[in-house]
Amino acid sequence: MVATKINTKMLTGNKAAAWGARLADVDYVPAFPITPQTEIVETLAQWFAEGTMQGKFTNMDSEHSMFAAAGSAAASGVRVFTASSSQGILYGLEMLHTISGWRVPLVLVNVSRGLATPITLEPDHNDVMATRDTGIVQLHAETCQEVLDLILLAYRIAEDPRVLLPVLVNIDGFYLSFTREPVELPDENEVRVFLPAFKPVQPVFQASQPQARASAVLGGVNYSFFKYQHHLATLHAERVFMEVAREYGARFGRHYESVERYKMDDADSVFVMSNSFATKGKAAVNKLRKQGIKAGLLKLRLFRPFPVDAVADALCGHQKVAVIDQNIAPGAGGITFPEIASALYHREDRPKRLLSVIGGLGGMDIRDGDFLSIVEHLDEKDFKGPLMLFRKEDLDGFRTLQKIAGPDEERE
Amino acid sequence: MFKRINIRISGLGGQGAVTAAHLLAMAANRDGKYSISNPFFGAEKRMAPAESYVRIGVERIYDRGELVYPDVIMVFHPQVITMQKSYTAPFYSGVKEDGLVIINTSADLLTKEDHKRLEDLNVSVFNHDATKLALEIGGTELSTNMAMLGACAGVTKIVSLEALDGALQERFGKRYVASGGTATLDQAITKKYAKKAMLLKANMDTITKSYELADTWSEEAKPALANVAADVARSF
Repeated sequence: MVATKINTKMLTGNKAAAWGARLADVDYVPAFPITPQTEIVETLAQWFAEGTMQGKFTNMDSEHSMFAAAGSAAASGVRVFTASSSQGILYGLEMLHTISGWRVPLVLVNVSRGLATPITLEPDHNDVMATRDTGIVQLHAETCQEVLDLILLAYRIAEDPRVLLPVLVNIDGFYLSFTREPVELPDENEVRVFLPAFKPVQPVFQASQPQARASAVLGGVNYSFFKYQHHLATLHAERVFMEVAREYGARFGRHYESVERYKMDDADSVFVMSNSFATKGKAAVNKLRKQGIKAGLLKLRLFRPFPVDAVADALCGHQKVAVIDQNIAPGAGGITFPEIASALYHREDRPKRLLSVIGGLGGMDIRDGDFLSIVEHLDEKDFKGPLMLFRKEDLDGFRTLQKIAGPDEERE
Repeated sequence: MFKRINIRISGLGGQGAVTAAHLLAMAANRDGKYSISNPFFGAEKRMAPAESYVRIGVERIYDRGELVYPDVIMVFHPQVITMQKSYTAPFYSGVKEDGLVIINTSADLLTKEDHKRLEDLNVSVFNHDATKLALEIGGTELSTNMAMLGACAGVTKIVSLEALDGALQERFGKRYVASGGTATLDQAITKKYAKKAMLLKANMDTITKSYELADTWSEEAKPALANVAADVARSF
């Protein structure tokens, strides 16, 4: 059945995120603003103030307190939403590890922005990758529509008794946060059926019944079992994602899988990408195909748990694969590259060529020429990588700036 | 045959370059076209360079972010050119052949070299005194962005006036809701909404007048993009 009432609005990714929280009928939003996330909490603040949303919106003193408040509120049995970005999410990182260990369901949006130093406002994924090992489920959005849909899916995953974990939905700053495109808003009543009010299965904090949770465990043995349990719960999220996504597709007509294949069937060269730049990748695939190059794209949507089998099934049988990381681990390279490589290692029919590519840092554009260059480097068997994308004009410009900053004839 | 128009708006913080892009994209969507808009800015402060981009087409748009090769460039403030307050220098870099440049100015701001380079690309330049028009009709220079929108639509017909009106109402028009409080409060709210309705009308008048002026200019100057999307609206 497809939703009866269709209401399409031109929304920014930030507004779509706010709509996601509104349609999910969240009870509590602890907030702290940061560019490029501010529009989300600003919008929610207004909706709570007007009475459009019922519940409590609180401005916190920092992201650290914000995540602590979010986790505590979720432990009291209410539905919680929050959002951050970049330096902000890093400031609260300690609490992310902590609240995921509390096994409390909530949804948080990260609006990706490159990390200092140097400081910038535009996106890359080093911020969200820093939260990779917090034991929080992660979904990465490509379009404003996906932002809204993934938030609704995220609540179902978070609150599922097999999971009970925070879920993070990642959206790129600027390229999604401030970009307006048509977004179909699902009917509120339909959403209520898909996502009924949160009914916790575990005992919750109540003032009348004091209890202790998350106390210290020394000695390592019990600690390890907590961590193993956490790992298993996170793994469960993949199956739960598939179940709820199927239900969502049947109800609202938009179908999501843990990975998305774009023109992969006969592809010789495959780009692996995630988030909003995947749209650029799809455009490049179309253009390369017009030039007779059989290109395809695999988009990562569910990033934690890492859908090992889905990734391997999609990539095996293809000759050449380039993993484009919009992040950099200095001294190691791209962060998702080794994850893809390890997903493929045990498969006999794994791609013959696997290339690590780094690009789009701090929102630097990835252009058609870059994709062509990736295809060419896939054929250079001796090139080990990672391939760092840049254009000569930009390097010349950068050198000019260096000269202005400190004229030094000797420097290269 | 019209497939896609890429519009780059260069302005200064506070002029509504981002809002203008949003309204254009919304209007295009109302006309049944595909559209996507996004801004680029650094520090969010008045008079700092601010850019925005709109892509409007008849096919799904697999493109986002900075617009490097625009068909239409709108310059909202003379300082974009005279003081190079712009992320792209010169302001017309990347402009496509047969393109269109609309500048908010009463005087010619381009050098001989600029003119030559634009002529070589068959790019038409429309000097449009948008701020003057905004002050005359809207009574505030804050309507400059409306005058620029009207000009873009008047030359290219990329969006209809009806769709612009609809977009304006959707973005700024709010239906009056009784506060449920005291009568005095309700009265204050009614007044506020009445003022808003007047502002909306002034903005739409600015757009319409600008549209007409641009249409007239277009008939004489015959830019390559004149009426490029005139017959496309709702045709698919």
